[in-house]
Amino acid sequence: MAVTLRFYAAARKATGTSEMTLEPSVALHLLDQAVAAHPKLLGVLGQCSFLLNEVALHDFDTQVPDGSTLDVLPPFAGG
Amino acid sequence: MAKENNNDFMANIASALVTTDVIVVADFAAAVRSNVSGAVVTFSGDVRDNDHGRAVASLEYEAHPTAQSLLEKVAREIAERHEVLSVSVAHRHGPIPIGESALVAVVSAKHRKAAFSACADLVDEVKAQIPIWKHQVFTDGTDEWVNCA
Repeated sequence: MAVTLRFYAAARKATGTSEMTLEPSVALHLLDQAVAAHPKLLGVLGQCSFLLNEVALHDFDTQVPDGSTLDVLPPFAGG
Repeated sequence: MAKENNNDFMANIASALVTTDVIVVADFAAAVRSNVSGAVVTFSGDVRDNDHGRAVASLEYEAHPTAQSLLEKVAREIAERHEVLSVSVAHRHGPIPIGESALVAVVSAKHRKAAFSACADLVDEVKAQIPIWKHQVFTDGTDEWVNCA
């Protein structure tokens, strides 16, 4: 039983890793664990958007089921 | 391709590309031109050697795996929203040398007004909606992810 958190751009810089594997839980709890493991993430998390299995996630009480991917996306800067 | 006998507005082409290859605005402009289009508006977002007064040494873009499909969606939306004939947009990622294009947006339309507004709208939507990030290294050795304080 595992879910994958993926960190991009400034979020990856803050955690020092591109991925984290955790037990399935609600999104908020997963992000709490990520911050506990990588405190610098807190500085960028408030600006981030999130994708659960490539779909925008807005409700952090959402259960993230086994096998899912939760992506942490800092503010976009294309163009 | 645009049909010459169609006098009504019809947006018939929308293409999008996320690539690590070199992108050249003239190539994309040539691709949207047709005998029914009276206007082609192009935009090239180029890599600068400076940002907020600091000298940039090198620059790299990172793209999320969904960037290609989202860029296709944006191109289609622009083609539907404006009276244009063809919309084409490309975003390069990976390291990009100073002076080369990071973003190319081109629009053809019968008339210039629609082409100008569609092209501006396209660039705004790309910046707002596409999960791509810019990392710049300054000549003093410091670096930053743009838009992320």
